[in-house]
Amino acid sequence: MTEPTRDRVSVSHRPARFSAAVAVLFAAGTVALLAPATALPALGLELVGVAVAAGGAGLRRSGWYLLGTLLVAIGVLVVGGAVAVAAAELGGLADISAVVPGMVGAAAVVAAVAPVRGTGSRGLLKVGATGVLVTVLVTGLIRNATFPTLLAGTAGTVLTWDAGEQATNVGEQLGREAATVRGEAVHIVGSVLVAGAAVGLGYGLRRVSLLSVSLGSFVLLLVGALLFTAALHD
Amino acid sequence: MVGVALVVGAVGLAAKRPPLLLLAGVGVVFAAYPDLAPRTEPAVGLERTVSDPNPDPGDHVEVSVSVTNQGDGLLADLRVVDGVPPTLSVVESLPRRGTALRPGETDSFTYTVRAERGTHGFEPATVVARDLAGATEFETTVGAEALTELDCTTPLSSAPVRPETLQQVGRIAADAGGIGTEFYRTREYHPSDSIGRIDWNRYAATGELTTTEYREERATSVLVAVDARASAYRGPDDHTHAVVRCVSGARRLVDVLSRTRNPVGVAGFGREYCLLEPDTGREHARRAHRILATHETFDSRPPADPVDLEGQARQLRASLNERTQLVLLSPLCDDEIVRLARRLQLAGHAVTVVTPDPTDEGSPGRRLGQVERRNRETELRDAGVRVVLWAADEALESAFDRATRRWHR
Repeated sequence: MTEPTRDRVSVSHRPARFSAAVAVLFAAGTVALLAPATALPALGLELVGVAVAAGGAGLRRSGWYLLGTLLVAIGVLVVGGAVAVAAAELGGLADISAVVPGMVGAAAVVAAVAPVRGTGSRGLLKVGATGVLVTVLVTGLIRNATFPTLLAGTAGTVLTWDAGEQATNVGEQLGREAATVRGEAVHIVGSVLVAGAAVGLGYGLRRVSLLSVSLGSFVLLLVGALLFTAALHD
Repeated sequence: MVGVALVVGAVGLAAKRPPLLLLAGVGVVFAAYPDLAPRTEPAVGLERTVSDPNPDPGDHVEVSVSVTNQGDGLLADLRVVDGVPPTLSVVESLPRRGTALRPGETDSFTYTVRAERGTHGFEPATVVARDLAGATEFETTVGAEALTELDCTTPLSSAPVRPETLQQVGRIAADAGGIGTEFYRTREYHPSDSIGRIDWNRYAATGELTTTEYREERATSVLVAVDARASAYRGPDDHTHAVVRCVSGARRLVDVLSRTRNPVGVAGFGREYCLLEPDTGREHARRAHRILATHETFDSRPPADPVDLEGQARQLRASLNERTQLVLLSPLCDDEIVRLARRLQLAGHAVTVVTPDPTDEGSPGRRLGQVERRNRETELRDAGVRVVLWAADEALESAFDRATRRWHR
């Protein structure tokens, strides 16, 4: 039997729109939060490039193959240009190594959850989230970022990955065209609340640690917490 | 998440920066989250309604599905894919939904399918429930409380059974004189004839003794058989495959034959041999319908394993008595089924083959298929088997009309 194709609705198992948009917002927000003011124009340019590429990908799928491909190429070039602009603008190696991994990471997250071809990539999502995390860590090591900012950046990184993963698995099971916003939203709200709790907890511990707790005690505390989590898993 | 915690912690430790070390706490919290998130076994109820259970072919039918959380925990991430009959295609919106349900809450979605000729049963919906953290996943299938079916057929007013035994459907009669209620003919008196059957009016008028004969009543049992071997699962593009049409045709035949009080039975060749012995009565007709709708032999997906038609035919012959007629529904996609029909006809059973056309215009391969089918049809007619050709877009009734006109010519 051959499958009828005429005016039949088809399902594309691309990442779900809502969670994908949330993942991109978290990635971009995290990078923007941590970047110095001088890098913000370059970030804006990157956003334009991403939007052009996404529009091109949409055109490609709706039949405008050549124009779409052209726009995707232009968008990718603009993103590359934005990274170059950021590097030129910032000058110092330290600042560059703090901002550029995040910019590349955010672009990778977009490519993972809004793919030009295929059904999205978990590997690319991990690469992107890792890039954003590197920005958080390098910023914390080299530049004088406040502790709450770093906490928010870490939470933003985790939420980026979480929303991207949700987008991917909803896309796999239900497809992009299905109405799935309600289920996605509840999952994301849950994750955001947990992230809020984590930030609050970190901030509280920081306050306690200001009352002189040694680094060694911290390490012990962290190892203890990890072992406790591992025990919960069993 | 443990990985994130370890990497961040290691960087913090190496740099001897307590604040960076503290960032690892975010990773730890997210690593613990899946174990702390509430986890409930989903209890989901499903209800399905169709805008028109008896549509015409080509009609768009709206299907609405509501899912209810019947448990007492939150279903944070519920994914439902409805069991659309594999033979129908969805033409508007999707039979899929991602939602979240509080206890007792109901969410519903609608989609539209295009009706195709035949009877199409909906299958249970696939339901996936994830907890809030997305760490555990339950997957089950949930059937609607009432079996949903889309019946896109027109009821028959007659069946193509052999007129030499069944004068007309609605009457159980044979073309043989004897004892009965309907006048058949008069003939010369024979001393063994009963006095009650002498035509006294005629004796008064002419002085000749004649005997009145009445139409002999004889119930003919009909076995409706469906060819559901893998080779029969074929159909033209954009149309349902032959087995779905055969099964829905069989159901119409069972309807019309059981109304005539002729014993009617159902048989199927395919995944396994399936037989319901001919019998009468409303309860029996219901049982026949249930078997045609739900027995795995008549599934709308082809069997994976090869079918032993020889063995199944042997079982069939064992259950036929000499007066059983056979109505075989088959797309005639191979020679084996033709051989079976011929052999049964030669063994004295009246065989009628109803054959939905699975072929299509187009490629040379398909035209070859049409020629082969025509050859098989001729082969059957030569053996005395009656053949009803059932075109792809045709109602079964009009196919019978055409066939009957041809037989009476």
